[in-house]
Amino acid sequence: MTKEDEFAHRLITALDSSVRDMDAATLQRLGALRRQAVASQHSLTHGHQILSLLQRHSLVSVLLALFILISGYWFVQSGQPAYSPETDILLLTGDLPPNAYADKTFSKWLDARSPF
Amino acid sequence: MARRTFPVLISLYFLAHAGFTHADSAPTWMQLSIPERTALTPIAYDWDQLPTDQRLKLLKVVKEFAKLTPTQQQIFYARLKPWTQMTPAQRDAARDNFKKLQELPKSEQSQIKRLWSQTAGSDPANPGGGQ
Amino acid sequence: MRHPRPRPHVNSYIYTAFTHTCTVASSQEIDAFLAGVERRAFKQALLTIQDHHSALDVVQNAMLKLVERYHDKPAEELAPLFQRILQNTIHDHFRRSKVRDFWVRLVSPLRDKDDENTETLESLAAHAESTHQPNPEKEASANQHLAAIEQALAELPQRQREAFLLRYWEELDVAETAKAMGCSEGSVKTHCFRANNALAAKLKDRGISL
Repeated sequence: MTKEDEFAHRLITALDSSVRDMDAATLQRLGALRRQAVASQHSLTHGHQILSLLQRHSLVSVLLALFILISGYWFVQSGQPAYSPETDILLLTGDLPPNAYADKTFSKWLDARSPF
Repeated sequence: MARRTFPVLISLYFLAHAGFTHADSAPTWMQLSIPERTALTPIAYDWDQLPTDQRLKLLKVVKEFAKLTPTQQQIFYARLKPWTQMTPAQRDAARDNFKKLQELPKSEQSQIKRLWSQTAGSDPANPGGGQ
Repeated sequence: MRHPRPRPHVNSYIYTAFTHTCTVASSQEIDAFLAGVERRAFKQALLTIQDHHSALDVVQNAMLKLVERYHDKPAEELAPLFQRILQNTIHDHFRRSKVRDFWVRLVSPLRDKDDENTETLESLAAHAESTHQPNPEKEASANQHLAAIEQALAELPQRQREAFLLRYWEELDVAETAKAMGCSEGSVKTHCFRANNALAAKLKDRGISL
């Protein structure tokens, strides 16, 4: 280990102690957030259960699939303007970065100023 | 019944494929051309994980990349990754607001841009306003 | 090793291709991983964002994104993946708050140029709702060395702090750190080198030797 590494490791040891001594309220909150996140995984895997349910009721599945496909096709064809990259190029190379434009305060201000 | 529905579902699936104007897949990083990869370098590692429609839109954007000046290309590079990390709703809001800003009087537009460069955007190492 | 985690001996992509169906991380493995990393993640966020409530938000978002995007990855890939998500989430937050401050100052009729701590209505409401009123981190740490170290880390440029913490605290190797930060391996080494020097100089200035 180099001298830099040794210095860094001593510094990290101090950081570790700060993490050990973290206040109880924060630790509790972190644990709650973690349990929430892990629980959200179950809703992801439940999607597969719905699929096997559909496989068992095959006539309903076929009709449902037909309905979804036909109405989806109609929806896509019927009114979505084709994507134009010109605006995006201007956003990505202009004076303000895109995330500045996305800000909600800015949106509200622009709406208030609109003559319509 | 079950024996016959499976081929029916499969043929419906391919029918839908033919019907939808967008294919269900976009090129992976390995399938991109060299000019495309040059334009998309900042998101090389993220490309394969991006949603299909986002990749297809970006491929249309990068067609313009070669026409940009070197300075503009650097700004593009700085902004590309943050752009892909915005939600679709945020990107749409950015597009809307960008268009609305163009409709404001020119003097206001330049004032806003000047104020931005003096305050929040004033990091010279950060032309994209991102990381 | 301070934060033990299983490491594959071959390139992780090849490893995944051969073993994907057998080694998807279980709920318990994800929970165990997050339990091991959550405090450091919170600390990392706090050092950049300097706000307790927002740092918790960032950790929450990072955890949710990890589960959403990578719950089907093997357990040994979780650490570098989580770090990449965490760095991106910290950046997003930091950028958004800078942007918000700009627009609020611009559109507010009572623009106060000297007020560095302008808060939006939303963040004020959020603070009022929060039942937890923590002490400022600096007051809470009794240890003077620790306060100086945290201060020195917080003063580092963002990229240097990231590289330093990912290499030394999260114990990612250079390649993993480069992926998490979205830069080259050479940049990682440069950032680390500069961070080390800056930290040593700052602590020396304060008369602290480790």
